[in-house]
Amino acid sequence: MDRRQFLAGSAALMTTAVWAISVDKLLALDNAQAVARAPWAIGFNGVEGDYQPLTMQVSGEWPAQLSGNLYRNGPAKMSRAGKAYQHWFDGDGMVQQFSVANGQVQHQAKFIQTKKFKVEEAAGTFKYTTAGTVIPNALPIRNNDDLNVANTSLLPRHGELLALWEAGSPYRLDAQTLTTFGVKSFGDKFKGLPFSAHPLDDGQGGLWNFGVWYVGGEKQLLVYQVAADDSIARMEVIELPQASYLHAFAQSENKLVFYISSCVYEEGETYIDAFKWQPELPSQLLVIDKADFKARQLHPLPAGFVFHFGQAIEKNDELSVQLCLYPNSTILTQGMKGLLTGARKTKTPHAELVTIIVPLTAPLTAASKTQLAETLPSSARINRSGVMMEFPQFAQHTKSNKELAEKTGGASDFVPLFGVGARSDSAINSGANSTFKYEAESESGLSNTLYCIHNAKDRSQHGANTLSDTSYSAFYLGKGKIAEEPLYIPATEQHEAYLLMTWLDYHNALSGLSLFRASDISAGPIASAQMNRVLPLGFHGCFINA
Amino acid sequence: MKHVNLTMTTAQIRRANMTKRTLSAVWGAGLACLLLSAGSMSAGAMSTDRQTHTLTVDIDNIQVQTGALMVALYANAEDYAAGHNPSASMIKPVTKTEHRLVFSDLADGQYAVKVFHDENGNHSLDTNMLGVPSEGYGFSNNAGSFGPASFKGASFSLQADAQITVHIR
Repeated sequence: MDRRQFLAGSAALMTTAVWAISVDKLLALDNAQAVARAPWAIGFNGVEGDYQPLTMQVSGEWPAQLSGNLYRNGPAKMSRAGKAYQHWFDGDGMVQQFSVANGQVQHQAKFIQTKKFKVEEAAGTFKYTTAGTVIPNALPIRNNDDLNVANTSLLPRHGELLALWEAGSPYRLDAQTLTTFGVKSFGDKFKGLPFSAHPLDDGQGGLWNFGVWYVGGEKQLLVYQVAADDSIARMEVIELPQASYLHAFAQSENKLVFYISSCVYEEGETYIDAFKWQPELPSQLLVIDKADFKARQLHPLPAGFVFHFGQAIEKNDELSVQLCLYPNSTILTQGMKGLLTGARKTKTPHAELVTIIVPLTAPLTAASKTQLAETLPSSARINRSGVMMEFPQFAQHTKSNKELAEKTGGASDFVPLFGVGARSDSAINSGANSTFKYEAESESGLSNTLYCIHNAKDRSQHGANTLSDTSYSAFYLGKGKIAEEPLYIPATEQHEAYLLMTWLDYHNALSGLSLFRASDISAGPIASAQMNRVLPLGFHGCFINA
Repeated sequence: MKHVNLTMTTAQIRRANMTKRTLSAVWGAGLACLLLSAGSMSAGAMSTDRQTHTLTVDIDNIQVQTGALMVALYANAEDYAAGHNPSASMIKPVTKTEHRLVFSDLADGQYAVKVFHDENGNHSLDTNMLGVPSEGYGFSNNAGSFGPASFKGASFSLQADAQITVHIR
């Protein structure tokens, strides 16, 4: 029985004083701050307002050469006037800024002043139905940007910060003051188009990105190349075989790579509820030629689900792409709701780092606009790493990183890949080369361990699904800690490559960040900073050198 | 003065909009045609031998103080969908965040109101390449959660003088 129906039905009966206490308890179920929330749930409570600058308590040796700002984005307003959001994606975006200079770290944070945030802040209540929560008597919307919460990632662009969502425009922010300027327009034709939160550097000062458009039964993928001057250099509207949830993509030297999952948009009370797991629809790897968006291939795959990608390389007429593969989409449809209730009723499978290899030998043919793409016989191979991890990070092959490209032979080999995973708190002494399954996980089910995959190489010569020979390093943060995205900071002339990772210590109500040498994460952090603030757990960030 | 029921029927509207057609086409039929017929008053609603009514339309939540409101009142689903033969229409220059427009001499019947805010005065409803408006609009009953409202969603029965409020979205 639906809880709302239950409450409505019960209310008529609850007329005597005997019921009064029960009424309070029952009604409290609709409140985020209520009943039996697990200790880790403080990371999902959201925050009331902006954070003023605070100097954090530092430990270890912060390298004098490392100076800059770590910015992180994530959902931060999770309830208003007693109404709580039901999905992690719903919350209004807030930018956390950690300024690192002279061995000191200072924190401040501001809500992104989206149109939605300002309307609701003025009203004191939620006024718009969000991706995952129906708001009673919600205001109707003009276009996607009326619902834009700008809560997913941050991209440095032309001296500003762009706060990205995935179903609407980027929001422009001042990188120094975190002041919101407004939505970014790429021109009248492109106003308010879906613009995903993981654009990729095109190596020429521009960006590759995409958006999906599933309104009114459409199943369209919009693929963009944004020029250096932020005009839209190219755009292609591609008919997808199915209206799959798409969050990110990968690029190799010549290709853009999408995972068309078996989690498909149909109908529902909310946008999230409309996504249904349809394992009878195979997943497909969509490979698009960068030089000709009409030249595309589809490679059938077993049913699966993906948010994030690692590297993609072309070698020996094959394309290999790393991604964090879920066996199904319950993480999106159920897991991210459970996080907000504070009770993980449904344990959802974790993602495993895998490498999918498909042939590039078949000639790419120019598909006409009506053709989806050339669908190939199933020849894809999936190499499993045995490492359950998410938020993959690596040194990008960009023009600004020529040294790396030369050292690695022009992006033809994988470089180390970093990520975080949920390792069992009680069985942590297992050796570095052990394998573990998603059943053995942390108390929170959230990440507590930093990983570095040393040679997630193409092991196809030795047969697929090899579990035992992935070489990796790991660092376990400790009981009661949740790790967020470990941001990769490339080496510069001044300093070596680092990982800068934020975390929440939910037992001690502390938030912090730790710096690791990318060359040896298992040695643990070389420097850390913490403070008595419980920051909302978030998604993605960026680092800008001072 | 009677307040017309403003209940939203979002689930119905959403379902109605879930047909296989491009949103652009939907907007085209639903809103862009409004301008073409605005100002061409139909005499159909005029009646002398029956009592007529006055409809007061309060339009609020106007988001920029430029351009003009294009407001049209339709008496049936066909004309509403096509943007033809409005029972009445008005063009109102925008100077405030809310404006009151009064339509008089209306016969008994079902009506639906479409409003579009031509913010930049180019006489068209600006949209992006997917056909989604970047200028304001609204419907009676404040119907429709995303995309144009149907006549069924936006229509109301007028049997006496009435006042309605349309929120520009």
